Amino acid sequence: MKKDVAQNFILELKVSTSTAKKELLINFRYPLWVIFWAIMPVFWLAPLVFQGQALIGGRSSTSFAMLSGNSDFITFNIVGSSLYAYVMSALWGMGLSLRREQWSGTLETLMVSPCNKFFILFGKAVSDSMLTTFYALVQFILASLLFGAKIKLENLAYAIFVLLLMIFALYGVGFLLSGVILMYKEPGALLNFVNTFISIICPVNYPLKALVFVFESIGYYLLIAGLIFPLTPALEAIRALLLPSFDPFIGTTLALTYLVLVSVVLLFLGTFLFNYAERKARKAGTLGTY
Amino acid sequence: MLKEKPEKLVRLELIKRGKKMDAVDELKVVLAVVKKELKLYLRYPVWVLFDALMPLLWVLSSIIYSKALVGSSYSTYLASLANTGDYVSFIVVGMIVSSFAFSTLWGMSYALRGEQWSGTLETTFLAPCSRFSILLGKAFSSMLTTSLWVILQLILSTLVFNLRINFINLPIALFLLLIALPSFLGIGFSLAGIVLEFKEHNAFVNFLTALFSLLLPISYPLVVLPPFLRYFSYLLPPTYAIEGMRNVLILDSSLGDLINLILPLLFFDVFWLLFGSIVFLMEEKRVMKKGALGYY
Repeated sequence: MKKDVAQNFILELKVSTSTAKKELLINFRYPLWVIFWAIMPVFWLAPLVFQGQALIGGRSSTSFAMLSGNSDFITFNIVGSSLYAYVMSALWGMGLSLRREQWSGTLETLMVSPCNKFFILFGKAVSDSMLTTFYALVQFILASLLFGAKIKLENLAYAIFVLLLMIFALYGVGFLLSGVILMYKEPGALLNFVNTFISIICPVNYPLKALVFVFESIGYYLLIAGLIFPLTPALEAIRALLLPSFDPFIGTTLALTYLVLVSVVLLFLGTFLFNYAERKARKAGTLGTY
Repeated sequence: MLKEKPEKLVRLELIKRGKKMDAVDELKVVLAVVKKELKLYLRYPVWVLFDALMPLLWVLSSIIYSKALVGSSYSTYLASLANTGDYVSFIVVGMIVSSFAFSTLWGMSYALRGEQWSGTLETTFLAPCSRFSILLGKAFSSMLTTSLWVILQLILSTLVFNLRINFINLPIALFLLLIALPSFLGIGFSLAGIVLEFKEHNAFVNFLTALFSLLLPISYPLVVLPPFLRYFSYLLPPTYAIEGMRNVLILDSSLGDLINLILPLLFFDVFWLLFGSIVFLMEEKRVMKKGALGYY
């Protein structure tokens, strides 16, 4: 009996590896897109660097230091933008992965395969993470070369551990979105809005305390909303590990504990919603409808 | 007894027989396209809501970032570079002009791509009117909706962030925008031509948007850009429009003070209108010859 369960699990994992392999193969068939996504984030980061330089005349801001302990806004931004790539991937990659199957007309075929559909999604999520890690790495290296980054390399291994936790939590967000998109189809407007809203309430480009500094009492609500999303605790912990003199809003232990908990909750919720949406779509016969 | 044909039908008959449409007819085409595009746009209220909200969120994000860096609402360093330390007004004016520029630049190509998706491009191009009337209609409808969001942006920025611009100078600012408009339209024509030839243009548009956002002085003065990038900025007409609008709305300059910005704009108007029209007509001819106009 136990042997059967183990064998089944291995077979399901093969589904994930095949899906991941297929997704990577498709992605690398469009090398221009791969180059585009690897380079574009630097184009988005550069205006922020120039804007900062125009406002304070260098790379060190006393106001930034007061809000986060770290005055070097350029390194702060490089770390923030590189990690933000994973959020983009959860939204536009994992969230849209089933929609792309609908576009290609292959979703119904995929859904009749005799496997647990969670492992198909998991395979898509793994391939997305691999690609995003490549993009984030290129972005980090390019931005560091162009603008200079001062990080504590000795803590890099710990930072990677936090990053892995964040990726798991974002898998949950991706699964949740896959379910929603399966039900409501065209998600462009929703994703664009969520994407921008997350970049405002999470400390991607500015310290978390800036929300309170600018909006006072309303800022506290925004800050709490930001803390709930897994990117915020991950950014706080990774910046505390990598940036010299960074003073996180929440302690690293608390951030890690929260990330573990939120990963479990989001993965559970995401899987539940996805299964529900799939059942509903099958019943309504709308799985393949465009 | 034969009924007398209404004038409208007689004109239509003449056009069918090869008579060229006059300026009034072409203007009617422009208006009809604007009406159609607006009708289509308003059929997707979620997108309308999104279009209204997004520019506000971008301004918000940029202002929080600036305040976190500076610590107050006045940057002395920016004042030394751009004659104004009021970064809220500086950024809001930059974003407004760039919104107009982007909506004109991409409006036509997005709308043509939309016709390709809907399978209506061939039918539209069979109409006995100038292609440019169709393109202008698409550009103007996109500008009209952008104007609405810009007004919303202005009102909310004034209420929430205490935007301080000289509203009395708005007519001069609008006049300056009108001077810049032909050059924006010219670039739009050439991009529309590119869409006809290459179809899927999302990557290209995304790349150009990011490049323009870097090169245009939207949230910083050009002086902070490395010199080799600055040369490219001076080749883009929106650079002069943004600088001019800032001078008028923030620094209270008169039109006479802006002659060094207006002259290059007039040059770009002529250049881009000619270049854009030629590119569009050439691409249209090429695609027609290949029979690929309606290809998806």
